[in-house]
Amino acid sequence: MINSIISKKAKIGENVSIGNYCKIYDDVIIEDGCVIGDYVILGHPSNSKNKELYIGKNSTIRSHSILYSGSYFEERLETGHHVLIRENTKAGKNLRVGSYTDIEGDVTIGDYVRFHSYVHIGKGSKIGDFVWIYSLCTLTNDPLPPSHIERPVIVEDGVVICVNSTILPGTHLRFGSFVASGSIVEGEIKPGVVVEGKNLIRGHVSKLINIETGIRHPWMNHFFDKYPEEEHRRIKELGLKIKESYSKNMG
Amino acid sequence: MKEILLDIINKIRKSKKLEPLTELNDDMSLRNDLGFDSLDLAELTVRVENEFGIDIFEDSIVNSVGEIFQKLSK
Repeated sequence: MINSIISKKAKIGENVSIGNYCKIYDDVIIEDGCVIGDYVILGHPSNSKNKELYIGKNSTIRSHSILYSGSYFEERLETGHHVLIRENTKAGKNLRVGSYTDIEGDVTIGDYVRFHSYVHIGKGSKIGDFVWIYSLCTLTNDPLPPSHIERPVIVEDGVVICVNSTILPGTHLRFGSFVASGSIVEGEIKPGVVVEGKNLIRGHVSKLINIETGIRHPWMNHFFDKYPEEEHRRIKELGLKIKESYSKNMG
Repeated sequence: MKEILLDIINKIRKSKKLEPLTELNDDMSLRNDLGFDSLDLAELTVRVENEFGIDIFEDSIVNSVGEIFQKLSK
């Protein structure tokens, strides 16, 4: 812990490892079992009325990441390197944020969400549970930039957004919808619907199949085992709900 | 049935800016000859199901046009 500056007002739990050249501000709470990498800043001052930064137990914050004050993360947050998370972000358990991803604040995030690297989550976004957002995706919020207008994106449970996609302001991705790589999406995308390119409907996620292996979406069918056993039932129920949305939305 | 399936396949090919086919052969591979990826197969499945009421991938993998005809003929 060379040259790290830790405020005496910060609350550090048991078995917490803090790297070198870190700065931990007042009103930071780090629960038991966390690992903080080198050059990490926790509790960076912000305009948030809530000055507290809470990091749940067994979290890992990797080097050069900055987490602003006013945010709350349940257990097992894990970041890559050079992650920026602005104020008033509230996340459920087991959030994973890839390297160089930034979350612009006033964002709510559910449980077991995965952001890969170089993802931009626009201010005010609402993300559900079990969402996957792959590299180089952007969730925007200003319909006529630059302006004071904010139309954040809503991403419901189980949504997958593939690489290099742009989700335009005000878009609402309903549960289980699937955005193909390189897409530009706006408006409401119904549950389980697959969209490609500029809002082109390609079918339903329950019909997405890899012909070489035979595996078939929704991904809950075959990927549930990547999650803790206590979550399997919840994931499978979500998968069933998505599958059942086919007849309503595509039939 | 053949004409309807050809029409469906050509709609998908058109969206991919591929030339329309004039006929279908049983041994045409969905991937290699029609150039279909997972998204195309998803759209094909939905369109065929809407038309014929059959999910061509429900019980097993379908690799060729001929295998689609077999499923639709049952």
